Amino acid sequence: MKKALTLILWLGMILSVSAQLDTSRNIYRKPMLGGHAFHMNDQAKSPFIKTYLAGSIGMGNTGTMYFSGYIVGDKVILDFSGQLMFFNAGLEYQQRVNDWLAIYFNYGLVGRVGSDVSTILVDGLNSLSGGSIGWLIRLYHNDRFQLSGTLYLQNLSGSFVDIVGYINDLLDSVPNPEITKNIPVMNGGVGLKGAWAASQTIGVLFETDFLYGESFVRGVNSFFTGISLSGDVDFNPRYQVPVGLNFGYAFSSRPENTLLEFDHTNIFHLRIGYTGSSDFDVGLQFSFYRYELTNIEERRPWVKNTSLGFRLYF
Amino acid sequence: MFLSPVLTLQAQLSAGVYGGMNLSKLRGDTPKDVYFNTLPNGDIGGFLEYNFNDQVIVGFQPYYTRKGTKVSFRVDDMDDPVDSVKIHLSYFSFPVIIKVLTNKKKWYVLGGAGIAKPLRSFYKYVDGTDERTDISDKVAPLNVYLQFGVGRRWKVWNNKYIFGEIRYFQSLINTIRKGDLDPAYLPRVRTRGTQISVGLDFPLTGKKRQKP
Repeated sequence: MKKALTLILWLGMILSVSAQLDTSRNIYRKPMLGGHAFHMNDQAKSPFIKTYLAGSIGMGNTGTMYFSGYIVGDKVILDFSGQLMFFNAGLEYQQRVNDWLAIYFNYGLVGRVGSDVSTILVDGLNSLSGGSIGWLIRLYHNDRFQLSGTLYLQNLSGSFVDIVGYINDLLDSVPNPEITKNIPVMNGGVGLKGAWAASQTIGVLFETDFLYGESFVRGVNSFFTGISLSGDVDFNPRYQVPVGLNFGYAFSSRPENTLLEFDHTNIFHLRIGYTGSSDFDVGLQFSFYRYELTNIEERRPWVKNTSLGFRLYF
Repeated sequence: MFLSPVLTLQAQLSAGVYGGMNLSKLRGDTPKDVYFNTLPNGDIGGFLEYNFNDQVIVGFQPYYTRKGTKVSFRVDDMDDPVDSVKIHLSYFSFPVIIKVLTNKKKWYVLGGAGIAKPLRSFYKYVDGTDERTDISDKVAPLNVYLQFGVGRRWKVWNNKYIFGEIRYFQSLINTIRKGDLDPAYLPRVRTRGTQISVGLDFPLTGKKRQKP
């Protein structure tokens, strides 16, 4: 009841602000510089001071991997070949306050599951959920370029099931071994987001993020970073084809990308989207990245992920 | 000429009082079959604010607050966890808050950080007995937190305003005192929740004196 009351109060305040703030009735609500309308990939934080709702949902998998198992007596146990599957979902709302400030909230869920029981047994099951709340502040802009900064607080909760790790701990006589670990972490972050319109057709987006705070290893604080660069092509203004491409690269050590502590990953993505609307984007994104595994011989298999995302501007 | 900067500074300063309720809870590690739930409490304080320009206000807002949580336990033969203990944590808080007004100057968003000194902490059972067990020595000697929120103000008379705000607050450091515990085994528990306030804001000088 109290949660519902709190939620209603928050929604009431936000909708009231929204009703008063967005008095400007721009015909074209999507972010635009120099005649180029930007179409962001699903993971990117927009550098634009706009009110929008964005969401994405996706799944991915590795190729077939092999695990030689353990020799117990004269038998081999837990030897298998199989795949790992991944899922992700996210939702973000950003509210424009004035010409240079917006507030935002986002929530996401990302996890790794096995495609069969043996995969789960061997490399466990990890999931992270949580979100962040922050401010987006416009630092500089002109006709073709915009630079904004973010300041935010991130709360995550991680659940880790590691059966092989548990068996190893038992064999190594580690005190208090655990199969399941639930660990809450909190980090503070700052970031820079930028957009540059080269022409009506081509744009460039970049972002950097630095977070500091707790890690998923108790008693240890960590520094996380994320850097990304993407190109954005809109075929609509010049060729009257309502299709846009966003392709790019990101480096990330953030746990929601690596699902592992003290690791990093390189992510390549291609997004194909519909660009014919003045106030929403929808697109299909293909991401490729390598992924560290703790218990499988093939240490960094490629993960292919497909997600569907939208961004609705008000 | 000598008085002009003083009067200008005074014209940019305002002060006020505010109070309200908060819905807080502890969040983080819990023992098996134990849950933290929201507990309503109260806040009261004052503030001094400086208007940087017509959109940005910086304020110092010391206040007394009581936060806490209900602790529920899962019991055999019961479907839902049973509320058993209420933990109350009293603080005197010193936040510095930045408010950014919208173009119409009625709504604003706010954000800031603060430190809080714990005053008294205790728990009591929810069975109706008022026996309080002091746990002040288990609470960290200082709390550091962030706040984000939204507010609305109404002009009432002679440049004075009443306002209503709703804020999300989140402590940044562990609520549990470290003591002799190994950090690897120290539970991570923090306070967080929503604070709903109303208040009165009045300038330290009248409107006419703002233009010497």
